[in-house]
Amino acid sequence: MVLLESFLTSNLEQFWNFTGFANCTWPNLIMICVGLLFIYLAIKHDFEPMLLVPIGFGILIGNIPFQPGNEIGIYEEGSVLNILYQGVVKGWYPPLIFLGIGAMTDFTALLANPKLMLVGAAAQFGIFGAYMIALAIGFMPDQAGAIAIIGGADGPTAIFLSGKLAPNLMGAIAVCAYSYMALVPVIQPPVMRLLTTNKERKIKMKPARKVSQTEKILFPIFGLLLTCFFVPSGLPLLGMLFFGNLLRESGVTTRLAKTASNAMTDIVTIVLGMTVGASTQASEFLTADTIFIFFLGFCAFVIASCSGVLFVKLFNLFLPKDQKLNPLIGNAGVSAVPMAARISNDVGLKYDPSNYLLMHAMGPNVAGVIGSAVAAGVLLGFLG
Amino acid sequence: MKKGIILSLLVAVTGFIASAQGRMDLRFNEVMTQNDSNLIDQTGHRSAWIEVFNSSYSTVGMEQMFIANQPIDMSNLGGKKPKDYLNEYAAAHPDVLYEIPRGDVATKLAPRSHVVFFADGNSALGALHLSFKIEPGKENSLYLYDVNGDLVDVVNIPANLPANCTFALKADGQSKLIDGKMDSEAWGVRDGATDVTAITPGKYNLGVVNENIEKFAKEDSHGFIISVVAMLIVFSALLMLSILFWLFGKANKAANKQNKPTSPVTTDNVADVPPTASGTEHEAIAAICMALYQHFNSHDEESGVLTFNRDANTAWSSKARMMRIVPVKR
Repeated sequence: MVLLESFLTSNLEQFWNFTGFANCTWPNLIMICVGLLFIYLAIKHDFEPMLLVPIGFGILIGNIPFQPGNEIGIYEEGSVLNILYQGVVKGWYPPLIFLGIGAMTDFTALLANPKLMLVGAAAQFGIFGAYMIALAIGFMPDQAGAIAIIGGADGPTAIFLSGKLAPNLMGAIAVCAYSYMALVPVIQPPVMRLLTTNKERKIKMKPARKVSQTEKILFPIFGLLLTCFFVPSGLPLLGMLFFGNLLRESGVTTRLAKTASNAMTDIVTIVLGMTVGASTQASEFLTADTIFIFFLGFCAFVIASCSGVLFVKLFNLFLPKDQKLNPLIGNAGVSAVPMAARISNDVGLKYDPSNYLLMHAMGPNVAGVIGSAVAAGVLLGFLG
Repeated sequence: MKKGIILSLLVAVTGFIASAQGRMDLRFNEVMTQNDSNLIDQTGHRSAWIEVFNSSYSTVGMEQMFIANQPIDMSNLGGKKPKDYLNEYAAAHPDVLYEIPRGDVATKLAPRSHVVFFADGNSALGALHLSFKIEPGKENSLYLYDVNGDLVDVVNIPANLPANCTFALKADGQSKLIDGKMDSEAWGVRDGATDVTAITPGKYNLGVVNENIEKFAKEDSHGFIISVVAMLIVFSALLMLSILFWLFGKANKAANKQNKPTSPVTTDNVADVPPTASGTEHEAIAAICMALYQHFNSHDEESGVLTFNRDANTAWSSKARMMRIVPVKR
């Protein structure tokens, strides 16, 4: 009887030590609360639900305490989570997402008014402004580059670059990038109002010209050749983006384009979001660096929005009177598609209910996708 | 059938090119010429060793490749294939050329992994034991040849390399041949005294410093130069694209103008729709309205194209149509 009792006690004790309750620490609980907050924001307030639900749930998965050594955790070699995480570490997932983005994106608005590409380029100053601030705070150039890419407002690009330049900061950078992308409707309108006059907000832009199918087919081909000859390090992202777009526009690969833009993107988004969330383990995430990353991410978004709007105002000085651009489309130069363009439209409608800016803002918006991938390629080329 | 053969050939050629490309990514990574207190082989002996690194992101097999301690003259093959020539040369001069045998999994390198060969002149001990030795105290050279005789990598080891020190790449796999000669800037001596100069057979060369980052941290500490240069690159790339498609737009416009009919065609601004349309016309108008409705509410095809997706399912043929949607309280 005594033997049985001691056997049971020792086994129960062993089991207890194995449970999450015995291994739990405060940081784990804090991170679980963060995960729950993300899930709440996504479901209740519709904040980027496609991303915040997988990331939030991933945070829960990554922060359940356990005894190491059983090939369970995301950082334990050979575990299932670790195998899925390789797509993030080695950078497979972001290019696949870009393939889907390419297959989903209609570049017509950009092709109808190619000068809007420059607005997309100008908004990338958010990345480099944040880079300079990060260096001033004390980050090393590679870490600063990885953090600054948040200013591109492009989740896959941020994950791709941070995975290459600062893998230890990737979780925080990804969560920060997606959080601010969800907060674009909160961050951008005050900046846009601050930098524009009432008269400028009412500028009506010329309707876009018709774009031929040939132009749409040529765009991904020439886009790839031109941008990648400039920045070969951006090839994984730009190559897949333009390839996806060619599948869409060629007219003969509709089935492939549909798969790339629907099923494949959904699968990769699920795995990417979940593994990025799971990688934010308390020990890696709850550091002073994370606070700085969130601060720098905010700066990057604000600088990007400002530079886009100010560039349009500057550009207007050189444009004929009938071809002036509405500065409210400048914020759309960040690549949060189509959220940023929608904000241009909403703010524009507030000042003139007949002034629909959505299609005009889509031009810089999709140019921002290309611009941020080029900027990531440049940073990778310099600092990789 | 013909297509099948062409496809198979294409696949085979692509596979061969890919495999050849992988082998060209192999690099000598670290070499120790005098080993008195370092790595021990499976027989308990110490000898000079050579580390090779697979710098590619795919698995590369080293079987039938060649390692030599002097350059092999491939200018006069005597009508033989390079592979046969090297095979015969290796058989005749084992003290110069070693052919990596087939069948040993140790010579199959996983992506970004290392393998260590012992230069002990005793190839009978296994695939990782070279048929020649490296003599310390004199200048040694090592050459890595592909199966077809292509030179993959070279390293010239200085004569004054101290005992138990290695001559190693500063960053794993980061060197390239310059006109068939080694990139001497990429190599340095490691004495094992600190983490930065640790001797690491079969592992990454620890303590490697990314010189790019060090350079930028030192010379551009505020990030101003990189920001200006990077913005210029981003602007240039998008400006070029912008100009190109502006020109395409112009050309398109001109082409459209040319294609216009020579005599002007007058059209009424208002469509002539009879007030009492026939049954077929009503159906056509309904179809157009449906297509417009789908276009604006559930856009399913590319922009500017009106599509009308006909749903053949009815409550009679599809059970889903008979399901009631359960109301959800939000």
